[in-house]
Amino acid sequence: MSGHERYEEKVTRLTRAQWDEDTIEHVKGCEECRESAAVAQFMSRVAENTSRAPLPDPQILWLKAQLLGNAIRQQEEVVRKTSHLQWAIWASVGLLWAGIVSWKWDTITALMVDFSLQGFLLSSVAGESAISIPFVIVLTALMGITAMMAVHAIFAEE
Amino acid sequence: MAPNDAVLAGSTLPGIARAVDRPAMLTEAEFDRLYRSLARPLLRYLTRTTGDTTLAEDLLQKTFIRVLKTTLPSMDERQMKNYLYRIATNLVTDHWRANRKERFLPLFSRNEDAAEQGDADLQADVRKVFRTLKQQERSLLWLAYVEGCRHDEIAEILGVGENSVKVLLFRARKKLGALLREQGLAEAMS
Repeated sequence: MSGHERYEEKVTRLTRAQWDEDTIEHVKGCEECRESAAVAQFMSRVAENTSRAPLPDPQILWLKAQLLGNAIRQQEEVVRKTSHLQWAIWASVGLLWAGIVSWKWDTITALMVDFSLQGFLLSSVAGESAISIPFVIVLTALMGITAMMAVHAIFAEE
Repeated sequence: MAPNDAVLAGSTLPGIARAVDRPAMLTEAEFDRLYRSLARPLLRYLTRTTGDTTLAEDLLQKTFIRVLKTTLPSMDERQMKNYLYRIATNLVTDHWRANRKERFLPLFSRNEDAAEQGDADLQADVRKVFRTLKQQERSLLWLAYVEGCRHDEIAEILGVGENSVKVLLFRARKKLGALLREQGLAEAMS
């Protein structure tokens, strides 16, 4: 008995076993079941003949993942350091503001109440002003740094 | 016994990496086993849902790389498979979101057809009809009819409710049934 003859009956029986007479009769008269059967048959066709191209090498994927992991860790380290630096700068600027305000509080309040650029320049040149031009330059620079940091923080949030 | 050997022991499906008994990252050996058992079916799923073999291979690699970068919670083989399919599905969705115009596949995808030259006309028609479905419909039908997933598993993979799966699957089947009749393929499939 050749190979295929030996299995022919078994294969036929197994195939028929999936479709007994009762089911066949039901499907003939039931539109829903006919549709289900057609869809199931269709999907098995869809699943046929998908590409048999060789899969990417798992070892290469493993190495890729390791390299990516290292890159991410390095990136996280840089972000962590940058974040620390940012906090340090904020703290320094805050301390500087606190120092300046407490040191020159009387003068600052006087300036806020009655300030004219002409009067300030004249008294500074004559050496009568309570705050010097270098102090004003430092104050302006500090205001600039504060504004820049605020803008940076806003854009970083976005 | 190596730390992850315990989780490999007791695996009922040969080849599938493990059922992790605690949060851990895959070792190279575990990854190798997982990849060898699931990469091929996952690639088939991605190829059919994207309609592009190059994109499917790219997403397959991204899926496994994402798994390798993740500390996995405790899960059995089935959950591991569903987890992989969920990542892959999310990557496909992200791809469509980034390239909205491609949401509906072109009826003729050269990339896919080139890999299957010599197929019968019927096979070409089958692929053409499948491409007219939406991505979610393709995923639903594939998972239900080809992978044989249960409704709760499909819900987990697609990130929708189990009841929604029943409704969506019913609609997808109806739509495909109508398309088959329209294209004269219904008889060929019965």
